[in-house]
Amino acid sequence: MTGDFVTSPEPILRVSNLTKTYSKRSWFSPGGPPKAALNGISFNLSERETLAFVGPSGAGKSTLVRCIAGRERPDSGDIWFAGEDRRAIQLIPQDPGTSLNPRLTALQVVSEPGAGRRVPELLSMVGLPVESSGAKVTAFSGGQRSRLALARALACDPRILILDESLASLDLPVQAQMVNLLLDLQDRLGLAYILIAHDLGIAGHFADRIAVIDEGRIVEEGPPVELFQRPQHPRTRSLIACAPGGIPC
Amino acid sequence: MRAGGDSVLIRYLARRALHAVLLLFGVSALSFALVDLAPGDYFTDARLNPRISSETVAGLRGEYGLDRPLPVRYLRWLRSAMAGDLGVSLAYNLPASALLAPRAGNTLLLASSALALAWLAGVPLGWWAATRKWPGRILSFAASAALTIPELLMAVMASIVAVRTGWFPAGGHLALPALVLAAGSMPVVIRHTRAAVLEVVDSPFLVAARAHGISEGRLVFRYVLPAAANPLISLAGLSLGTLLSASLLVEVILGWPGLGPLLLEAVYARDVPVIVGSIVISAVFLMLGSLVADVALYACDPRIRVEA
Amino acid sequence: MTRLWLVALTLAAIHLAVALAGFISPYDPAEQHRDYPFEPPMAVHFFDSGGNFHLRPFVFSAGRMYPLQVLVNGKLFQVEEPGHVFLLGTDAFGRDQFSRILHGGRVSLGAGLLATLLTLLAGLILGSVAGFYGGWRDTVLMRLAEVFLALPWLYLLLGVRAFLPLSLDPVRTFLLTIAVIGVVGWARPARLFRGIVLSAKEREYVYAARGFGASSLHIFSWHILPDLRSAALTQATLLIPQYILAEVTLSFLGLGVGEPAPSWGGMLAPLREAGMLTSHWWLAMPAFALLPVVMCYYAAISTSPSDR
Repeated sequence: MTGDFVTSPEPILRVSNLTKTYSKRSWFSPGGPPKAALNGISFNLSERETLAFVGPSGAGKSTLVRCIAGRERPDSGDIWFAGEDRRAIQLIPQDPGTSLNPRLTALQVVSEPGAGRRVPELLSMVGLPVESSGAKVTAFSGGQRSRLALARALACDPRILILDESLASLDLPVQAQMVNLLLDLQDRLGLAYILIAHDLGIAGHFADRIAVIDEGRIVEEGPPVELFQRPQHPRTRSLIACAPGGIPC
Repeated sequence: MRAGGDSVLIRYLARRALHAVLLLFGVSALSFALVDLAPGDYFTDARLNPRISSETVAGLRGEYGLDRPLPVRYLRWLRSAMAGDLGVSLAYNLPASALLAPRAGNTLLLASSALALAWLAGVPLGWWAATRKWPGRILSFAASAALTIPELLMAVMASIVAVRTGWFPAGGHLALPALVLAAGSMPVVIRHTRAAVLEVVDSPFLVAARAHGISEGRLVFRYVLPAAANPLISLAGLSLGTLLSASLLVEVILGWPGLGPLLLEAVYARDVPVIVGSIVISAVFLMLGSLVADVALYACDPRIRVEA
Repeated sequence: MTRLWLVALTLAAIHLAVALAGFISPYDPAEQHRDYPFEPPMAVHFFDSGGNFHLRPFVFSAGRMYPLQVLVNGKLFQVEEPGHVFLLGTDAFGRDQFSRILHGGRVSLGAGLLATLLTLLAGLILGSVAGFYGGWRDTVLMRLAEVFLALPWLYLLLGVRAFLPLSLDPVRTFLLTIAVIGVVGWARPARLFRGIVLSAKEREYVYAARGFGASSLHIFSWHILPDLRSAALTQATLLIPQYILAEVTLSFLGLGVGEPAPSWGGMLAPLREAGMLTSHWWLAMPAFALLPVVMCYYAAISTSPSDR
């Protein structure tokens, strides 16, 4: 079932039939057969919605979000976004600290997208002390760097935030704090989240909807509770079996 | 994998050869472009000479093909160069290849004897330095100090010593330039050998082998030297350009009839076919040298898979 | 760390002395003292033949005592006419070697520094363009770099020099020398910088910057250029001594700044005549100015923390 899952409000992002193939062929080495990373992916995303893509590594999750964020071009398919400006889709990578240039200060990082005067506001929005703006990135802890990356993403006035396993590198208590912060921001700013995870851990607690992705296609999709109670696809079952925190119901 | 390995090597060699040929096209085209950028040519001075009429100069230029546009001249040169004809020397009025061939042979002789000398002396010295603590450090330091002495000064000093002592046959004998050139490249060989041997000596597999009671002499020839050979051969391939440059200078200063003095004369006289010819020959030397080094590297260390 | 300071201090002292050549040297470098060809170096004395101490040091010129006059006529030191002070002797034309070495240092050291600047600038621009934009620009530039690297460096240098005018006024020859040395060496640093740019532009913060629509210029100057800085510095310490030697080599071979302007290579050129040095050893003095400079730079490379 790869068809559109109809959600009530008007979608702000509509992805249809996305495909992308990587081939490692070159002049001298024939290489292997081309590998399909995305194999016809379609979904909609509404305002204030959290959609999680869950699947094993190599399933095509990262390729998917890179296409949505505009870092890569899909081979075919369409990505329609309600906002004109692609800046309104922001990606927070796997280890958010790496997305901050260690030579810069917090102020420079957050003001880089061109939000000079709003820096104090943005810092307090993500729960960082305003006085810390003069400190170098290297002076911040892992959790604080995630917040800093978040503050910079917020400086772009995003409507969609893509979290590409962004919390995976954090300790569990810090993860919980970040989830609360993200939920709080969703309430205040009306953000939509696309969450990428390789297990059902956080996604089960956080997402409105989970799409299980395997071999470049969505194999099953639905609200967490439904998915956990009546898993249809073997991949979903194996993911549930592996869920570290148990299932949220 | 053994049979497959050979075919990989052959494919690799074929690709390298193709690459080298393309590079030679590039090198010769670059030289020709430079000639064209230059103001004036061999006959510019003749034109200023009141006793030579301008018609004569124009005729001469036509005879040597200098009045043609650049691509035409290049293609003509290329066609004859492939047949081994590098044009006619303007200064000697002789085929450039006849001038260049013996000189190239001499440069090859000098460079290879210097290389052999540097290695035959440098590798044992480096190994010795690796196995002795303090003498090793002192020798290593002396080698890095010697590294900073420019070949130019070394050659000048050598010629003075030769004249003073009369130990060496005067001008034109191989011994002195080969010694100077070898002395110039030996410090690097010593330092690299020492470093390579030191690295291998401390490696776990040798510690284990020693614990199993394998004799030291056997260890050295079976394990230490082959393992250290790898970085040394890479080094030889890489330092070939430096060796040829140093050779040019040493040849000029010590009067060895290699490519160097001929090129210098040609530069003074603007003898274009000779200049282009010696530049192309030097490029061929460099390419052949690095090819030999790569094949040797492959032969002595089968772990190296040739990259696609 | 103390070694680095020592090296820096020595280099600074040499460069300062050369920069202040006009003040420190007692004579004009081209001034010929026809009555004093090949005058040996003069010792500075504090004690006269009677063993009496003189606070003001003096030299013996033509058998007479001449006390050094310090800070007169805008010169650091001088002696009264008709005496002469030749601290490092004179050459065949009776020109003061001390003054010529200081002034010649301007040419050699200046050419080294400026040519390095030129190479780094060219390498930085071309390497960054190749790495940052990729595609056909990368292919064209890196193929061209391969052609430049396919030649032994000195052959390339002479080849390029060959096609430029041989005799020009000193200033233009100086600029020409810088241009030739600087341009010939662009390929290696360009490759290095390209590699750094290639890895720098794959950083997550560069993707982030693209994600909020930062301009290429912003990305380059904020996130990539700082990565190049330390590599450029290491390259500079590597290239400066090499380029100083290149200038010395060119002028030694008569292809650099020519007479009457002094340069270290030009001053060493007479040594090519056998026997010149055995009878007039002080003509080798420029070599003793050159050696500490080269050694200091090499020492700086081996101590610098960014050395790999």
